[in-house]
Amino acid sequence: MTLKEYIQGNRRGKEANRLERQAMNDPFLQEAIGGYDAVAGNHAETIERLEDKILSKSSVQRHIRALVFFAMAASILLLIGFGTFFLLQKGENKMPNIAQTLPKVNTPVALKDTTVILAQQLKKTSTHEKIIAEVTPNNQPTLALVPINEVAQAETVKEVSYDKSMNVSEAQPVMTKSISPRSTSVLQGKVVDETGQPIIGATVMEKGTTHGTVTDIEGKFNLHVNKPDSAKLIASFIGYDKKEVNAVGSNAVIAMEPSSRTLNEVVVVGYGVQKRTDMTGAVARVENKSFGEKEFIQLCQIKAEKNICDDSIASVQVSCFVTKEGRPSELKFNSFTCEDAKAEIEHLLLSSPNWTKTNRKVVLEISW
Amino acid sequence: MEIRHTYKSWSDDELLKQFIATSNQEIFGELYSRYIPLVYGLCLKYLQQAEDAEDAVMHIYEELSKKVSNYEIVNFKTWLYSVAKNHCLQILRKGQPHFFEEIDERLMESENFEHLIDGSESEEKESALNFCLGTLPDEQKKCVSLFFLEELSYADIVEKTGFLLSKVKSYIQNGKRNLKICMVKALNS
Repeated sequence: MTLKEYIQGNRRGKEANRLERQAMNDPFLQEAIGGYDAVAGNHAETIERLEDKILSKSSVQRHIRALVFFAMAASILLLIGFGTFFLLQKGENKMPNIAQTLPKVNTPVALKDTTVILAQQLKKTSTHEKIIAEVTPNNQPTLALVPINEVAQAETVKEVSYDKSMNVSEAQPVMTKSISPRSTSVLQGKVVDETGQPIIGATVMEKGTTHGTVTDIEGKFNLHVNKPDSAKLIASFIGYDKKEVNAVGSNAVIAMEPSSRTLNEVVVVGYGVQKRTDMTGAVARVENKSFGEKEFIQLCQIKAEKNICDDSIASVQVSCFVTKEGRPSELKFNSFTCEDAKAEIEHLLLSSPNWTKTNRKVVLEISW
Repeated sequence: MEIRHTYKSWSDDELLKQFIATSNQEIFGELYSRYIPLVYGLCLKYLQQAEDAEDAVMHIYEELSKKVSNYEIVNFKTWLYSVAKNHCLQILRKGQPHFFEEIDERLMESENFEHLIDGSESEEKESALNFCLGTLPDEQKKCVSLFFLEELSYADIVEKTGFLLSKVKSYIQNGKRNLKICMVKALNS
Protein backbone atom coordinates (compact mmCIF):
# COMPACT_ATOMS: atom_id res chain seq x y z
CA MET A 1 0.00 0.00 0.00
CA THR A 2 1.26 3.45 -0.77
CA LEU A 3 1.03 6.47 1.46
CA LYS A 4 -1.28 8.06 -1.08
CA GLU A 5 -3.80 5.25 -0.75
CA TYR A 6 -3.47 5.33 3.00
CA ILE A 7 -4.36 8.99 3.35
CA GLN A 8 -7.26 8.57 1.00
CA GLY A 9 -8.92 6.74 3.88
CA ASN A 10 -7.85 3.24 3.00
CA ARG A 11 -6.75 2.41 6.50
CA ARG A 12 -7.99 -1.05 7.17
CA GLY A 13 -6.38 -4.42 7.06
CA LYS A 14 -2.91 -5.88 7.00
CA GLU A 15 -1.69 -3.55 4.27
CA ALA A 16 -2.47 -0.52 6.41
CA ASN A 17 -0.86 -2.23 9.35
CA ARG A 18 2.26 -2.84 7.29
CA LEU A 19 2.52 0.83 6.44
CA GLU A 20 1.96 1.84 10.03
CA ARG A 21 4.65 -0.54 11.21
CA GLN A 22 6.99 0.73 8.54
CA ALA A 23 6.40 4.23 9.82
CA MET A 24 7.72 3.23 13.22
CA ASN A 25 11.15 2.70 11.69
CA ASP A 26 10.94 5.53 9.21
CA PRO A 27 10.62 8.96 10.76
CA PHE A 28 10.01 10.52 7.35
CA LEU A 29 6.91 8.39 6.84
CA GLN A 30 5.91 8.81 10.46
CA GLU A 31 6.02 12.58 10.27
CA ALA A 32 4.23 12.65 6.94
CA ILE A 33 1.36 10.56 8.31
CA GLY A 34 1.33 12.81 11.36
CA GLY A 35 1.01 15.81 9.08
CA TYR A 36 -1.93 14.37 7.14
CA ASP A 37 -3.67 13.47 10.39
CA ALA A 38 -3.07 16.88 11.92
CA VAL A 39 -4.43 19.01 9.08
CA ALA A 40 -7.83 18.43 7.58
CA GLY A 41 -8.34 18.75 3.85
CA ASN A 42 -8.42 16.85 0.60
CA HIS A 43 -4.78 15.90 0.62
CA ALA A 44 -4.91 13.34 -2.16
CA GLU A 45 -6.15 16.00 -4.55
CA THR A 46 -3.40 18.40 -3.55
CA ILE A 47 -0.79 15.70 -3.99
CA GLU A 48 -2.01 14.96 -7.46
CA ARG A 49 -1.98 18.62 -8.34
CA LEU A 50 1.59 18.92 -7.07
CA GLU A 51 2.69 15.87 -9.00
CA ASP A 52 1.23 17.28 -12.19
CA LYS A 53 2.92 20.62 -11.56
CA ILE A 54 6.33 19.08 -10.98
CA LEU A 55 6.15 16.70 -13.91
CA SER A 56 4.87 19.29 -16.36
CA LYS A 57 7.31 21.86 -15.07
CA SER A 58 10.26 19.57 -15.63
CA SER A 59 9.23 18.74 -19.16
CA VAL A 60 8.37 22.36 -19.95
CA GLN A 61 11.83 23.34 -18.88
CA ARG A 62 13.17 20.95 -21.45
CA HIS A 63 11.01 22.48 -24.14
CA ILE A 64 12.07 25.96 -23.14
CA ARG A 65 15.68 24.90 -23.42
CA ALA A 66 15.07 23.53 -26.90
CA LEU A 67 13.33 26.78 -27.85
CA VAL A 68 16.18 28.91 -26.53
CA PHE A 69 18.63 26.80 -28.46
CA PHE A 70 16.63 27.21 -31.64
CA ALA A 71 16.38 30.96 -31.15
CA MET A 72 20.10 31.24 -30.62
CA ALA A 73 20.87 29.24 -33.72
CA ALA A 74 18.47 31.35 -35.76
CA SER A 75 19.95 34.64 -34.60
CA ILE A 76 23.49 33.49 -35.31
CA LEU A 77 22.45 32.53 -38.82
CA LEU A 78 20.79 35.89 -39.28
CA LEU A 79 23.88 37.70 -38.05
CA ILE A 80 26.10 35.80 -40.43
CA GLY A 81 23.69 36.54 -43.26
CA PHE A 82 23.59 40.27 -42.62
CA GLY A 83 27.31 40.38 -42.01
CA THR A 84 28.09 38.81 -45.36
CA PHE A 85 25.61 41.09 -47.08
CA PHE A 86 27.18 44.25 -45.71
CA LEU A 87 30.67 42.98 -46.34
CA LEU A 88 29.88 42.40 -49.98
CA GLN A 89 28.28 45.82 -50.27
CA LYS A 90 31.33 47.48 -48.77
CA GLY A 91 33.62 45.60 -51.10
CA GLU A 92 31.76 46.97 -54.09
CA ASN A 93 31.96 50.52 -52.81
CA LYS A 94 35.73 50.34 -52.64
CA MET A 95 36.19 49.49 -56.26
CA PRO A 96 36.25 52.92 -57.83
CA ASN A 97 38.91 54.05 -55.35
CA ILE A 98 41.23 51.31 -56.29
CA ALA A 99 40.68 51.71 -59.92
CA GLN A 100 42.02 55.23 -59.54
CA THR A 101 45.06 54.33 -57.49
CA LEU A 102 46.17 51.36 -59.47
CA PRO A 103 47.61 52.99 -62.55
CA LYS A 104 49.53 55.52 -60.50
CA VAL A 105 51.18 52.94 -58.34
CA ASN A 106 52.11 50.72 -61.19
CA THR A 107 53.40 53.09 -63.78
CA PRO A 108 57.04 52.74 -62.77
CA VAL A 109 56.80 49.00 -62.83
CA ALA A 110 55.29 49.02 -66.24
CA LEU A 111 58.29 50.81 -67.57
CA LYS A 112 60.62 47.99 -66.73
CA ASP A 113 61.89 45.79 -69.52
CA THR A 114 59.43 42.98 -69.01
CA THR A 115 55.84 43.48 -69.63
CA VAL A 116 53.47 44.30 -66.89
CA ILE A 117 49.87 43.82 -67.33
CA LEU A 118 47.51 45.72 -65.23
CA ALA A 119 44.25 44.12 -64.79
CA GLN A 120 41.51 46.48 -64.15
CA GLN A 121 37.89 46.05 -63.87
CA LEU A 122 35.90 48.13 -66.22
CA LYS A 123 32.43 47.45 -65.07
CA LYS A 124 30.63 49.15 -67.86
CA THR A 125 32.09 46.95 -70.57
CA SER A 126 30.52 44.00 -68.83
CA THR A 127 33.15 41.47 -69.83
CA HIS A 128 35.22 39.40 -67.49
CA GLU A 129 38.36 39.39 -69.56
CA LYS A 130 40.18 42.61 -69.97
CA ILE A 131 43.02 43.43 -72.14
CA ILE A 132 45.58 45.81 -70.94
CA ALA A 133 48.89 45.12 -72.39
CA GLU A 134 51.97 47.14 -72.72
CA VAL A 135 54.66 45.46 -74.66
CA THR A 136 58.29 46.34 -74.98
CA PRO A 137 59.28 47.82 -78.31
CA ASN A 138 61.48 45.19 -79.94
CA ASN A 139 58.86 42.47 -79.79
CA GLN A 140 55.79 42.12 -81.77
CA PRO A 141 52.89 43.50 -79.83
CA THR A 142 51.15 40.83 -77.93
CA LEU A 143 47.92 40.90 -76.13
CA ALA A 144 47.58 39.26 -72.81
CA LEU A 145 44.32 37.90 -71.77
CA VAL A 146 44.04 37.66 -68.08
CA PRO A 147 41.05 36.02 -66.55
CA ILE A 148 40.06 38.01 -63.58
CA ASN A 149 38.44 36.76 -60.48
CA GLU A 150 35.78 39.22 -59.49
CA VAL A 151 36.77 39.54 -55.86
CA ALA A 152 40.45 39.58 -56.52
CA GLN A 153 39.92 42.44 -58.93
CA ALA A 154 38.89 44.74 -56.23
CA GLU A 155 42.11 44.70 -54.32
CA THR A 156 44.87 43.10 -56.30
CA VAL A 157 47.02 44.03 -59.15
CA LYS A 158 48.44 41.25 -61.09
CA GLU A 159 51.90 41.58 -62.43
CA VAL A 160 52.30 39.16 -65.21
CA SER A 161 55.42 38.37 -67.05
CA TYR A 162 55.53 35.93 -69.86
CA ASP A 163 57.91 34.39 -72.24
CA LYS A 164 58.01 36.12 -75.55
CA SER A 165 57.40 32.97 -77.52
CA MET A 166 54.72 31.76 -75.26
CA ASN A 167 51.16 31.72 -76.18
CA VAL A 168 49.59 34.75 -74.71
CA SER A 169 46.77 32.95 -73.02
CA GLU A 170 49.19 30.75 -71.12
CA ALA A 171 50.78 33.62 -69.35
CA GLN A 172 51.40 32.74 -65.73
CA PRO A 173 51.07 35.23 -62.94
CA VAL A 174 54.41 35.45 -61.17
CA MET A 175 53.58 37.62 -58.25
CA THR A 176 50.47 38.93 -56.69
CA LYS A 177 50.76 42.16 -54.83
CA SER A 178 48.15 43.41 -52.44
CA ILE A 179 47.60 47.06 -52.03
CA SER A 180 45.48 48.18 -49.15
CA PRO A 181 42.94 50.80 -50.15
CA ARG A 182 43.93 53.08 -47.25
CA SER A 183 47.50 53.26 -48.40
CA THR A 184 49.68 54.99 -45.76
CA SER A 185 53.37 54.82 -45.09
CA VAL A 186 54.86 53.27 -42.05
CA LEU A 187 57.39 55.22 -40.08
CA GLN A 188 59.72 53.33 -37.83
CA GLY A 189 61.62 54.86 -34.99
CA LYS A 190 62.82 54.65 -31.47
CA VAL A 191 62.18 56.68 -28.35
CA VAL A 192 65.03 57.03 -25.87
CA ASP A 193 65.60 58.94 -22.67
CA GLU A 194 68.35 61.48 -22.02
CA THR A 195 70.91 58.70 -21.42
CA GLY A 196 70.00 56.83 -24.58
CA GLN A 197 68.05 54.09 -22.79
CA PRO A 198 64.88 53.05 -24.61
CA ILE A 199 61.60 54.25 -23.16
CA ILE A 200 59.03 51.51 -23.04
CA GLY A 201 55.39 52.43 -23.44
CA ALA A 202 55.90 56.01 -24.66
CA THR A 203 53.08 57.36 -26.79
CA VAL A 204 53.90 58.46 -30.34
CA MET A 205 51.29 60.38 -32.34
CA GLU A 206 51.19 61.92 -35.77
CA LYS A 207 50.40 65.57 -35.25
CA GLY A 208 46.96 66.66 -36.31
CA THR A 209 45.64 63.13 -36.69
CA THR A 210 44.43 60.36 -34.50
CA HIS A 211 47.21 58.04 -35.63
CA GLY A 212 49.15 56.87 -32.64
CA THR A 213 51.07 54.01 -31.19
CA VAL A 214 53.06 52.95 -28.15
CA THR A 215 56.70 51.96 -28.06
CA ASP A 216 57.61 48.35 -27.46
CA ILE A 217 60.06 46.81 -25.02
CA GLU A 218 63.02 48.13 -27.00
CA GLY A 219 61.53 51.61 -27.28
CA LYS A 220 60.73 51.03 -30.95
CA PHE A 221 57.55 51.93 -32.73
CA ASN A 222 55.85 51.55 -36.11
CA LEU A 223 53.43 54.28 -37.01
CA HIS A 224 51.18 54.58 -40.03
CA VAL A 225 51.15 58.18 -41.24
CA ASN A 226 49.22 59.93 -43.97
CA LYS A 227 51.96 62.23 -45.17
CA PRO A 228 55.32 60.55 -44.65
CA ASP A 229 57.26 63.56 -45.94
CA SER A 230 55.71 66.31 -43.91
CA ALA A 231 54.41 64.45 -40.88
CA LYS A 232 55.19 65.73 -37.43
CA LEU A 233 55.51 63.23 -34.66
CA ILE A 234 54.75 63.93 -31.05
CA ALA A 235 56.22 61.63 -28.43
CA SER A 236 55.12 61.77 -24.83
CA PHE A 237 55.81 59.84 -21.67
CA ILE A 238 55.07 60.48 -18.04
CA GLY A 239 57.85 62.44 -16.38
CA TYR A 240 59.17 63.74 -19.70
CA ASP A 241 58.39 66.81 -21.76
CA LYS A 242 56.42 66.29 -24.92
CA LYS A 243 58.72 66.19 -27.88
CA GLU A 244 57.75 67.21 -31.39
CA VAL A 245 59.93 66.17 -34.31
CA ASN A 246 59.68 66.23 -38.08
CA ALA A 247 59.49 62.78 -39.50
CA VAL A 248 62.52 62.71 -41.72
CA GLY A 249 63.82 59.42 -42.93
CA SER A 250 62.41 56.16 -41.78
CA ASN A 251 64.42 55.56 -38.62
CA ALA A 252 63.79 58.48 -36.36
CA VAL A 253 65.31 58.45 -32.90
CA ILE A 254 63.41 60.66 -30.55
CA ALA A 255 65.32 61.65 -27.46
CA MET A 256 63.12 62.73 -24.59
CA GLU A 257 64.11 65.27 -21.96
CA PRO A 258 63.00 64.77 -18.38
CA SER A 259 60.32 67.20 -17.40
CA SER A 260 61.53 70.04 -15.23
CA ARG A 261 58.17 70.05 -13.52
CA THR A 262 58.63 66.69 -11.86
CA LEU A 263 56.01 65.54 -9.48
CA ASN A 264 56.67 65.84 -5.83
CA GLU A 265 57.11 62.51 -4.17
CA VAL A 266 53.81 61.31 -2.89
CA VAL A 267 53.76 59.91 0.59
CA VAL A 268 50.65 58.19 1.84
CA VAL A 269 50.42 58.15 5.59
CA GLY A 270 48.05 56.01 7.53
CA TYR A 271 47.33 56.31 11.21
CA GLY A 272 45.09 54.44 13.53
CA VAL A 273 43.23 51.22 13.42
CA GLN A 274 40.39 50.38 11.10
CA LYS A 275 38.13 47.39 10.92
CA ARG A 276 38.97 45.19 7.98
CA THR A 277 35.36 45.27 6.85
CA ASP A 278 35.37 49.06 6.64
CA MET A 279 38.47 49.18 4.48
CA THR A 280 38.18 49.75 0.79
CA GLY A 281 41.67 50.93 -0.11
CA ALA A 282 44.92 49.08 -0.17
CA VAL A 283 47.08 49.21 2.91
CA ALA A 284 50.53 47.83 3.11
CA ARG A 285 52.85 47.84 6.03
CA VAL A 286 56.05 49.27 4.69
CA GLU A 287 59.21 48.14 6.35
CA ASN A 288 62.14 50.15 5.32
CA LYS A 289 64.87 47.75 6.32
CA SER A 290 68.27 47.75 4.86
CA PHE A 291 69.70 44.53 3.53
CA GLY A 292 73.41 43.94 3.31
CA GLU A 293 76.18 41.57 4.32
CA LYS A 294 75.23 41.50 8.00
CA GLU A 295 71.58 40.77 7.26
CA PHE A 296 72.44 38.12 4.72
CA ILE A 297 74.70 36.27 7.13
CA GLN A 298 71.93 36.37 9.73
CA LEU A 299 69.49 35.08 7.14
CA CYS A 300 71.82 32.20 6.34
CA GLN A 301 72.18 31.23 9.95
CA ILE A 302 68.41 31.00 10.27
CA LYS A 303 67.51 29.51 6.94
CA ALA A 304 70.43 27.42 5.77
CA GLU A 305 70.07 23.72 6.31
CA LYS A 306 71.94 22.59 9.40
CA ASN A 307 74.62 19.89 9.34
CA ILE A 308 74.61 20.04 5.60
CA CYS A 309 78.19 18.69 5.45
CA ASP A 310 78.19 15.62 7.69
CA ASP A 311 77.72 17.18 11.13
CA SER A 312 80.65 19.53 10.81
CA ILE A 313 80.28 23.28 10.56
CA ALA A 314 79.73 24.33 6.99
CA SER A 315 81.46 27.41 5.74
CA VAL A 316 81.41 29.10 2.41
CA GLN A 317 83.37 32.01 1.04
CA VAL A 318 81.73 33.75 -1.83
CA SER A 319 82.14 37.00 -3.67
CA CYS A 320 79.56 38.59 -5.88
CA PHE A 321 78.53 41.79 -7.51
CA VAL A 322 75.37 43.60 -6.40
CA THR A 323 73.70 45.03 -9.47
CA LYS A 324 72.02 48.40 -9.84
CA GLU A 325 68.73 46.71 -9.00
CA GLY A 326 70.11 45.23 -5.79
CA ARG A 327 70.44 41.68 -7.08
CA PRO A 328 73.53 39.59 -6.36
CA SER A 329 75.18 38.41 -9.56
CA GLU A 330 78.41 36.93 -10.86
CA LEU A 331 78.79 34.64 -7.86
CA LYS A 332 82.32 33.36 -7.30
CA PHE A 333 82.82 30.68 -4.71
CA ASN A 334 86.34 30.92 -3.37
CA SER A 335 86.01 28.05 -0.92
CA PHE A 336 83.32 25.82 0.49
CA THR A 337 83.28 22.79 2.77
CA CYS A 338 80.98 20.75 0.59
CA GLU A 339 79.03 20.97 -2.61
CA ASP A 340 75.66 21.05 -0.81
CA ALA A 341 76.70 24.03 1.27
CA LYS A 342 77.70 25.88 -1.86
CA ALA A 343 74.36 25.12 -3.48
CA GLU A 344 72.49 26.22 -0.37
CA ILE A 345 74.24 29.59 -0.22
CA GLU A 346 73.82 30.10 -3.93
CA HIS A 347 70.11 29.48 -3.55
CA LEU A 348 69.81 31.85 -0.57
CA LEU A 349 71.76 34.58 -2.31
CA LEU A 350 69.62 34.43 -5.42
CA SER A 351 66.39 34.38 -3.44
CA SER A 352 67.46 37.07 -0.94
CA PRO A 353 65.63 40.40 -0.70
CA ASN A 354 67.00 43.26 -2.75
CA TRP A 355 70.21 44.60 -1.36
CA THR A 356 70.02 48.22 -0.31
CA LYS A 357 73.60 49.24 -1.13
CA THR A 358 73.97 48.56 -4.81
CA ASN A 359 76.49 48.63 -7.61
CA ARG A 360 79.38 47.17 -5.64
CA LYS A 361 81.36 44.08 -5.04
CA VAL A 362 80.69 42.02 -1.93
CA VAL A 363 82.77 39.33 -0.26
CA LEU A 364 80.98 37.07 2.19
CA GLU A 365 82.19 34.47 4.60
CA ILE A 366 79.38 32.41 6.03
CA SER A 367 79.59 29.54 8.44
CA TRP A 368 76.71 27.78 10.13
CA MET B 1 5.13 10.59 -22.05
CA GLU B 2 7.05 7.64 -23.41
CA ILE B 3 10.20 8.73 -21.68
CA ARG B 4 8.38 9.10 -18.39
CA HIS B 5 7.21 5.53 -18.59
CA THR B 6 10.72 4.21 -19.03
CA TYR B 7 11.92 6.14 -15.99
CA LYS B 8 9.16 4.67 -13.87
CA SER B 9 11.03 1.40 -13.50
CA TRP B 10 14.31 3.02 -12.53
CA SER B 11 15.56 3.07 -8.94
CA ASP B 12 16.18 6.31 -7.08
CA ASP B 13 19.91 5.83 -7.39
CA GLU B 14 19.77 5.29 -11.12
CA LEU B 15 17.61 8.36 -11.61
CA LEU B 16 19.87 10.49 -9.47
CA LYS B 17 23.00 9.39 -11.29
CA GLN B 18 21.35 9.96 -14.63
CA PHE B 19 20.18 13.40 -13.58
CA ILE B 20 23.62 14.44 -12.38
CA ALA B 21 25.12 13.17 -15.62
CA THR B 22 22.62 14.81 -17.97
CA SER B 23 20.91 17.56 -15.88
CA ASN B 24 17.70 16.51 -17.54
CA GLN B 25 15.01 18.14 -15.40
CA GLU B 26 12.51 15.54 -16.43
CA ILE B 27 14.46 12.86 -14.62
CA PHE B 28 14.62 14.85 -11.42
CA GLY B 29 10.93 15.61 -11.78
CA GLU B 30 10.22 11.90 -11.84
CA LEU B 31 12.46 11.25 -8.85
CA TYR B 32 10.99 14.08 -6.79
CA SER B 33 7.41 13.29 -7.63
CA ARG B 34 7.87 9.88 -6.04
CA TYR B 35 8.35 11.62 -2.72
CA ILE B 36 5.67 14.27 -3.03
CA PRO B 37 3.26 12.45 -0.67
CA LEU B 38 5.97 12.18 1.96
CA VAL B 39 7.27 15.70 1.55
CA TYR B 40 3.81 17.21 1.49
CA GLY B 41 2.79 15.33 4.63
CA LEU B 42 5.96 16.42 6.39
CA CYS B 43 5.38 20.05 5.43
CA LEU B 44 1.78 19.79 6.61
CA LYS B 45 3.00 18.56 9.96
CA TYR B 46 5.37 21.46 10.47
CA LEU B 47 3.55 24.28 8.74
CA GLN B 48 -0.02 23.29 9.66
CA GLN B 49 -1.39 25.05 6.57
CA ALA B 50 -2.23 23.31 3.32
CA GLU B 51 -1.25 26.34 1.19
CA ASP B 52 2.07 26.85 2.96
CA ALA B 53 2.87 23.17 2.65
CA GLU B 54 2.07 23.23 -1.05
CA ASP B 55 4.36 26.22 -1.59
CA ALA B 56 7.07 24.51 0.40
CA VAL B 57 6.88 21.40 -1.76
CA MET B 58 7.41 23.54 -4.86
CA HIS B 59 10.20 25.55 -3.24
CA ILE B 60 12.05 22.46 -2.18
CA TYR B 61 11.78 21.13 -5.71
CA GLU B 62 13.16 24.32 -7.23
CA GLU B 63 16.00 24.44 -4.76
CA LEU B 64 16.96 20.83 -5.13
CA SER B 65 16.86 20.73 -8.90
CA LYS B 66 19.55 23.40 -8.89
CA LYS B 67 21.62 22.14 -6.01
CA VAL B 68 21.35 18.40 -6.07
CA SER B 69 24.45 17.86 -8.18
CA ASN B 70 26.58 19.71 -5.60
CA TYR B 71 26.00 17.09 -2.96
CA GLU B 72 27.19 13.60 -2.52
CA ILE B 73 24.01 11.77 -1.79
CA VAL B 74 24.19 8.27 -0.45
CA ASN B 75 20.53 7.73 0.25
CA PHE B 76 18.19 10.09 -1.56
CA LYS B 77 15.26 9.48 0.75
CA THR B 78 17.20 10.22 3.94
CA TRP B 79 18.74 13.24 2.36
CA LEU B 80 15.42 14.54 1.11
CA TYR B 81 13.96 14.03 4.57
CA SER B 82 16.62 16.18 6.19
CA VAL B 83 16.44 18.86 3.50
CA ALA B 84 12.65 19.05 3.61
CA LYS B 85 12.55 19.11 7.38
CA ASN B 86 15.15 21.84 7.58
CA HIS B 87 13.33 23.84 4.96
CA CYS B 88 10.18 23.74 7.11
CA LEU B 89 12.09 24.53 10.27
CA GLN B 90 13.71 27.50 8.58
CA ILE B 91 10.32 28.83 7.58
CA LEU B 92 9.16 28.48 11.16
CA ARG B 93 12.28 30.09 12.56
CA LYS B 94 12.34 33.03 10.21
CA GLY B 95 14.38 35.77 11.79
CA GLN B 96 16.22 33.39 14.03
CA PRO B 97 19.61 32.14 13.04
CA HIS B 98 19.40 29.09 10.89
CA PHE B 99 20.93 25.87 11.90
CA PHE B 100 20.96 22.64 10.07
CA GLU B 101 19.62 19.62 11.85
CA GLU B 102 21.50 16.54 10.85
CA ILE B 103 19.37 13.50 10.52
CA ASP B 104 21.01 10.45 11.93
CA GLU B 105 21.18 7.80 9.24
CA ARG B 106 20.62 5.14 11.85
CA LEU B 107 17.17 6.49 12.57
CA MET B 108 16.11 5.31 9.19
CA GLU B 109 17.46 1.84 9.54
CA SER B 110 14.84 -0.62 10.50
CA GLU B 111 15.09 -1.53 14.12
CA ASN B 112 15.39 -5.07 15.16
CA PHE B 113 12.16 -4.92 17.10
CA GLU B 114 10.17 -6.88 14.56
CA HIS B 115 12.82 -9.52 14.69
CA LEU B 116 12.76 -9.46 18.47
CA ILE B 117 9.09 -10.19 18.80
CA ASP B 118 9.06 -12.90 16.17
CA GLY B 119 8.11 -15.72 18.56
CA SER B 120 8.17 -18.42 15.94
CA GLU B 121 11.94 -18.31 15.82
CA SER B 122 12.66 -20.17 19.02
CA GLU B 123 10.85 -21.47 22.06
CA GLU B 124 12.96 -19.34 24.28
CA LYS B 125 11.79 -16.26 22.46
CA GLU B 126 8.19 -17.29 22.48
CA SER B 127 8.12 -17.84 26.21
CA ALA B 128 9.93 -14.56 26.81
CA LEU B 129 7.39 -12.79 24.61
CA ASN B 130 4.46 -14.34 26.47
CA PHE B 131 6.01 -13.48 29.78
CA CYS B 132 6.72 -9.89 28.84
CA LEU B 133 3.29 -9.29 27.33
CA GLY B 134 1.94 -10.34 30.69
CA THR B 135 3.91 -7.65 32.45
CA LEU B 136 2.40 -4.84 30.30
CA PRO B 137 -0.63 -2.84 31.46
CA ASP B 138 -3.84 -4.17 29.95
CA GLU B 139 -4.42 -1.44 27.31
CA GLN B 140 -0.85 -1.62 26.11
CA LYS B 141 -0.97 -5.41 25.97
CA LYS B 142 -4.16 -5.38 23.95
CA CYS B 143 -3.03 -2.79 21.43
CA VAL B 144 0.46 -4.19 20.99
CA SER B 145 -0.75 -7.71 20.31
CA LEU B 146 -3.43 -6.50 17.90
CA PHE B 147 -0.95 -4.33 16.06
CA PHE B 148 2.12 -6.53 15.94
CA LEU B 149 0.76 -10.06 16.18
CA GLU B 150 -2.65 -9.83 14.51
CA GLU B 151 -1.50 -7.12 12.12
CA LEU B 152 -4.47 -4.82 12.47
CA SER B 153 -4.21 -1.21 11.40
CA TYR B 154 -4.74 1.72 13.77
CA ALA B 155 -8.21 2.22 12.37
CA ASP B 156 -9.03 -1.45 12.90
CA ILE B 157 -7.89 -1.28 16.51
CA VAL B 158 -9.89 1.87 17.17
CA GLU B 159 -12.97 0.08 15.96
CA LYS B 160 -12.27 -3.07 17.88
CA THR B 161 -11.33 -1.55 21.21
CA GLY B 162 -13.26 1.70 21.16
CA PHE B 163 -10.17 3.66 22.25
CA LEU B 164 -9.41 7.01 20.62
CA LEU B 165 -6.90 6.92 17.77
CA SER B 166 -4.42 9.03 19.71
CA LYS B 167 -4.74 6.70 22.70
CA VAL B 168 -4.19 3.66 20.48
CA LYS B 169 -1.04 5.19 19.07
CA SER B 170 0.39 6.02 22.45
CA TYR B 171 -0.49 2.59 23.89
CA ILE B 172 1.33 0.95 21.01
CA GLN B 173 4.30 3.29 21.30
CA ASN B 174 4.72 2.80 25.04
CA GLY B 175 3.86 -0.87 24.92
CA LYS B 176 6.47 -1.43 22.26
CA ARG B 177 9.14 0.34 24.28
CA ASN B 178 8.32 -1.58 27.50
CA LEU B 179 8.16 -4.86 25.63
CA LYS B 180 11.54 -4.27 24.06
CA ILE B 181 13.20 -3.50 27.39
CA CYS B 182 11.64 -6.57 28.97
CA MET B 183 12.54 -8.87 26.08
CA VAL B 184 16.19 -7.80 25.98
CA LYS B 185 16.42 -8.35 29.72
CA ALA B 186 14.70 -11.74 29.63
CA LEU B 187 16.75 -13.08 26.72
CA ASN B 188 20.07 -11.98 28.13
CA SER B 189 19.58 -13.35 31.62
